[in-house]
Amino acid sequence: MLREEQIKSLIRQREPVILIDTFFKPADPEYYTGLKILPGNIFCREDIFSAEGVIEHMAQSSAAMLGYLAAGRNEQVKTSYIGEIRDFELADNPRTGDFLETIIEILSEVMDIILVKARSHIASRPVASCKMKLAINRNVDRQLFYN
Amino acid sequence: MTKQEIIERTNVALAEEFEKEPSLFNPQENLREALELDSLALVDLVALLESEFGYKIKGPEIIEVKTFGDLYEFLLKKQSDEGHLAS
Amino acid sequence: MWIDNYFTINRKSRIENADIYDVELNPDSEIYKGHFPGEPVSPGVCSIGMIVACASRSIGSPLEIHKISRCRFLSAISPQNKPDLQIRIELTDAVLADKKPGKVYQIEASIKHKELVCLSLKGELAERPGEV
Repeated sequence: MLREEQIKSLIRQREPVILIDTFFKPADPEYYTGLKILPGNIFCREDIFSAEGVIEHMAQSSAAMLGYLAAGRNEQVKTSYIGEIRDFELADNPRTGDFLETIIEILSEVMDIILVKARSHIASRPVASCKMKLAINRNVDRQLFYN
Repeated sequence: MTKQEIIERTNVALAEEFEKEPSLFNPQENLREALELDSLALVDLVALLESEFGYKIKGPEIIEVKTFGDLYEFLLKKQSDEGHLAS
Repeated sequence: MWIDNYFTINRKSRIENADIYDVELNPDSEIYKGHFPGEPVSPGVCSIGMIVACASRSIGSPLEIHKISRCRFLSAISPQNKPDLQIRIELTDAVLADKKPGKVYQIEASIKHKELVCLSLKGELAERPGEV
């Protein structure tokens, strides 16, 4: 399990926009991240953690997974970019004091694009879910994939 | 599955995922143009086929598939190589 | 909150059933301290936040994200070189499917830099309880 300062070896984000404080890999194909929502979190409005914060937490969770995989292959951790978010639904906003937990599962991977499913919960209560596409190579753009 | 069954299941799945009219699909037509796929959509195509048919599909394999006909042949070959997996 | 000084609306206009906001980013936002050090890049969620803020302006009450069917990030946005951005928003009333206390709006929006579409969004926004 990686905590706090060690997370910085997996992602490029730094304060005040780091939105994961726990990371580990329980079993293929799932990865687990957590975030304790502290007062003063930049995505909190008073004590309510916004949907944007939840999405960013999910995106960083996915990026941390990619960073972890790269490190495992002795590759340099590259920045990953969110290419697309699909079917994001938020049941309830987390609040300060909550510990937000997320499971990231890789659904498929082709060339430099990875499709993941992210599911977040607080204790046993589902909070949000979505599918996300991440691009590892910044130059992946809208060109049609057959060249 | 027979080839016809593969064709039908594939067309239905593609039509639904990419919101296109399946009666417009024909074997000679280029997949990416008909479905308006860009680089981000390739991974959706793979995820869809994997979940529909149960086969694991690799990037280099799917790159070879250009037309609808190529896709049907690809899935038929997967079936004969790997057996019937999905119900 | 971060959105309060993230961007400035320079102009608002209406074309057919869309509101168009001409905006510019604030390069001094504290978001950029961490995203990323030495290379400021507007996080995708902050671009979404700008859309929500503009939609709230259009409606005249605070809105928040309820659902995102699809949001595509087609091109990175950076405050460097002060890009002129255009946020285009179309809002329609949505049917209250899941007992949200306030109104829900369907939104289709995009952010463009000149002719380049940087982001496209389709989803639902709900009225946010409390003050702006």
